[in-house]
Amino acid sequence: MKNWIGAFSVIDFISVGILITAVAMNALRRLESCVKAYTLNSWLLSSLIAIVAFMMGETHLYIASFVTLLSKGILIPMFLRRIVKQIKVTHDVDPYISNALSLTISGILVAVVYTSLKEGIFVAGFSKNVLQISIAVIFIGLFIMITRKKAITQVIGLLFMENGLFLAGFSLTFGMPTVIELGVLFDMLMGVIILGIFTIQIRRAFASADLDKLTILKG
Amino acid sequence: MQYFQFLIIIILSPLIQGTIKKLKANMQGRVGPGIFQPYYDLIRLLKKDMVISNVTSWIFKATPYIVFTSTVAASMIVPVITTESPFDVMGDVIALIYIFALGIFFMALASLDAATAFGGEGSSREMTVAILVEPMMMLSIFTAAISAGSTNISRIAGSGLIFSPSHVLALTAFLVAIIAETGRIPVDNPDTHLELTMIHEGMVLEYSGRYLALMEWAHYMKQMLLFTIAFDIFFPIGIANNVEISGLAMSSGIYILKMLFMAVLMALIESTRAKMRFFQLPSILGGAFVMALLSVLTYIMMGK
Amino acid sequence: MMITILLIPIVTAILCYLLRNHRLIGYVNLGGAVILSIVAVPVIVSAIASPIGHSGMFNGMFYMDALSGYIMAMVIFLGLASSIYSISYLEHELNAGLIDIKGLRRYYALLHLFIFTMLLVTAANNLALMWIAIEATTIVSALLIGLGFTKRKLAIEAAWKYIILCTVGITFALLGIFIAYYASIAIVGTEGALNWTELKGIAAKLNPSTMRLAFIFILVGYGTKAGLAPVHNWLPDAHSQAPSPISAMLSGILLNTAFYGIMRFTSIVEPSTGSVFTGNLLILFGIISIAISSIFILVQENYKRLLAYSSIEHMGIISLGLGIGGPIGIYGALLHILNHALSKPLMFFASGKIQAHYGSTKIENVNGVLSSMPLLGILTFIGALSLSGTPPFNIFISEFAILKAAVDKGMWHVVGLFLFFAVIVFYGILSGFGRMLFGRTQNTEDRAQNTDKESLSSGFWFMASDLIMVLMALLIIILGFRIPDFIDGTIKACINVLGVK
Repeated sequence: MKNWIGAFSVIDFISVGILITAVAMNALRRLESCVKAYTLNSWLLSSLIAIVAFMMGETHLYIASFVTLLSKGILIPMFLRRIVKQIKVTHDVDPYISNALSLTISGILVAVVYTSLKEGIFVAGFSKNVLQISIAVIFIGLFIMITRKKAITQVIGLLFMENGLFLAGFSLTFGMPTVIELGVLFDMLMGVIILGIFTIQIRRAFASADLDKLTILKG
Repeated sequence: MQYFQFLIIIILSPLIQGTIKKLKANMQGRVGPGIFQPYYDLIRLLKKDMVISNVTSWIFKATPYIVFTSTVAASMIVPVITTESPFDVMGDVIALIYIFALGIFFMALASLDAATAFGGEGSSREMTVAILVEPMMMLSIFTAAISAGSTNISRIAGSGLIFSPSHVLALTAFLVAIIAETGRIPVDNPDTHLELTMIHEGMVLEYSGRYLALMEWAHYMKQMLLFTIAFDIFFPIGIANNVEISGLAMSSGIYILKMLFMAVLMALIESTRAKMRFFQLPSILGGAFVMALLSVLTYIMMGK
Repeated sequence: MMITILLIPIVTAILCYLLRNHRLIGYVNLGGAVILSIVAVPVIVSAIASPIGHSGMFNGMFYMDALSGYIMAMVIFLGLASSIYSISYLEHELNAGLIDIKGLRRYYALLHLFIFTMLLVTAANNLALMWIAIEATTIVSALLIGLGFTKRKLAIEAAWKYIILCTVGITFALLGIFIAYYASIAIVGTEGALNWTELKGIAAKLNPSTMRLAFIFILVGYGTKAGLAPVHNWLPDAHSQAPSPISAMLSGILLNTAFYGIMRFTSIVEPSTGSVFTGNLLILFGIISIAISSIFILVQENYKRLLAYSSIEHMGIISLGLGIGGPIGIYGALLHILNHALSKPLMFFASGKIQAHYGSTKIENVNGVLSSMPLLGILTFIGALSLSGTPPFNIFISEFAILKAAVDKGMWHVVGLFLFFAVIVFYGILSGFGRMLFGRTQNTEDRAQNTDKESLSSGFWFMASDLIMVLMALLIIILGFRIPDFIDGTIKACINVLGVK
């Protein structure tokens, strides 16, 4: 099994898959698809942790993988789907920049991250590639947050950032102690729930799911 | 034998086109024309007289020959069933892409030359697509070239199968590039002459008779060449690296299977996808471009 | 005992949420805050004397020393003040029909949860636990801001900006913590690698370039939370839209808890990278904050927003003090934290009353506070003088200490910029509040309405809230003349904890 994982460079494939799902967010306009991309991203993240747990024989990573799957892979996507249904908006039309430009910029972002981390200060080994990918995912998440108008897509961008962050932490240190990891995940879950509540309230109060209506407070 | 492997492309390329059409028809529940139909079409066209607009210049008349010969030249440097190619010296991938670009360039010029609305429309669209597709092709080939340490296509094919994320990404991008270059759904619809949507058909609209036959034939050849290159670069399994008869027979068999696979894939894509609006194209091509870019970057980063 | 301190607010919050009678909720809220203060005093005193850890449970994740005790004392004091003030404030809102009993229950429950999360920040030994607590403060306080008693839309907008910006910022902080963890496990292994008690000992051995990167992420992340420019955009909105007692908590202490995180981290990073790197970054952020906020203070038309920008300015000053470093600079910064935690809540409490009285947050709609409400007017005046850095009030002393540190180090450009912007702020705050305080109450119709409102808001709790404000004003004046020995001692102990020589 271990040989098999090594021979087919499964870890590389999964980490690149995480990157691709994040990049694909830039081209997705249907909110359902965005949620799907996020779900896929989380599943890949969780399976990557599980595989590394298997390779290293670390038990606490199995727990981390399972908790990631449960919270990011199942609970949060379910919750996001409910919000998408409740706000009765299906598409994030009319973003600030076009699909093609958005894709290109995210590609450039990845290039910048790769080159700037090439002579990094971090150890080599499998984690080096994963670290670069994770930083790229963080920046793509941030980029999505900047370029999208819908409250819910901003939340998804934030979630991508957090996935990237988890991957980064994981590749640097093979995960934090379990108690801390649980705490961080719990915080994120709460944060997403509250963001979701606000998303619905924005929809109600402003009669729109767009954030460019939120310009009353200035100066 | 190795001197004549390019003939395989010239001769068999209409057959591939016929196979795709037949498969597509079957998938859509039609009987469809036989797989040899493209041959009959070519023969019929070759026999026919030509109608040439009297406002055209020499470019219009020279283009079919340039397109055809450039494609033949391209097929000479691509290893089909053996990597032991006599034209190895000039078998450079970048040269290959520029030979294709030469053909496209003249085609676009010629369609402008006739000064009809559809020709201009077709050529401007083709150029837009080409701008997006060419760098994408380059980048995805680069990934393979860097890992093989050479841009020589025989050398790349001879370096064996490499299974890594960057190659998978590059292959995906390359497949999109093939679809765009061969004018297939969802980029272009090869079966229609609907003014609003046609790209490739718009460019050859003014041609008839022998010229049209040459253009179409070149188009078939280009399609088969691209399939062959895709396999040479990303899946060079079964291609012979010598010129012994037994090896060649084996690799010919595998080559047929590979082409059949591509035909099925193309037919499948064409049957299940809908044509995209032209203005949506940058989105999908941009996506594939980013994939190609990522493949190069990933390769550089991971070193595999 | 430390665990008891953390449990009291949680129990209070649950009780507040379960009860149905609004008077009873008020008493429970007050009772919780008072018990918390009584229980906390011995713990804080002993923590300041010598560090206490709680090693049994949770792998030694909880720990207190002088610095945590100092910040925790402020949290508890302001928690108490806000609890007392909230009773009369919410009574008024309830009578005006702006909230119902459900909103009231939520408010008190969240208020005590908010206090709990901030206590957790100060009691955390593990830096990641501290991160979790800081993120929890964001979540809870976003809900408090989003309660929005008066203007629903504005409250939602403010809360959304707040939670999005702070969560993004704090995500970067977590990345910084991961990087620091990476640097530290290289030296001590995974056991307790993020514990402050461990890190303090090995700080000099950590890889400098890794720590440098970690520090940048932490500074950006916690800096967002602390309201440092240019990532301060959430702050004016959140402070101006939150209910006044919450604004007081946000400004007076929430920003400080985030800054507490930066302080802890700086003291870990400094030994390996040298103080020039961290100092310059902090000074840069500080100067930018002071510059941007001073301009906005000058043109501000809304007094709650003016106070919010003043918070940014003071956070900038604290950052400056920390960045200049040296015993005097740190002393100034720590003292400034305390002074700001007294003056700003006083101003927010006062502005809550002014808002209730005049029904507007525009400076131009408020006139003659001194003549119509003399006590409130005097308190506001004291607060405004203090905030603008006028001698002999408390903030002048700490600003002076920071300036002196800068002069001692020969940072003349910092001194010049600081003085320049301080003058602008001085003018901005005093002219803004001057317009509100002086002058005459407008017309009889207004006055009739006012007397009506005053009768509504009189009573014991109204007096109590006045009393707490008077107490704060007295502290401001006392601190302006002389720093009591126990505060002086505490701050020196804190400097010792931060390892500054």
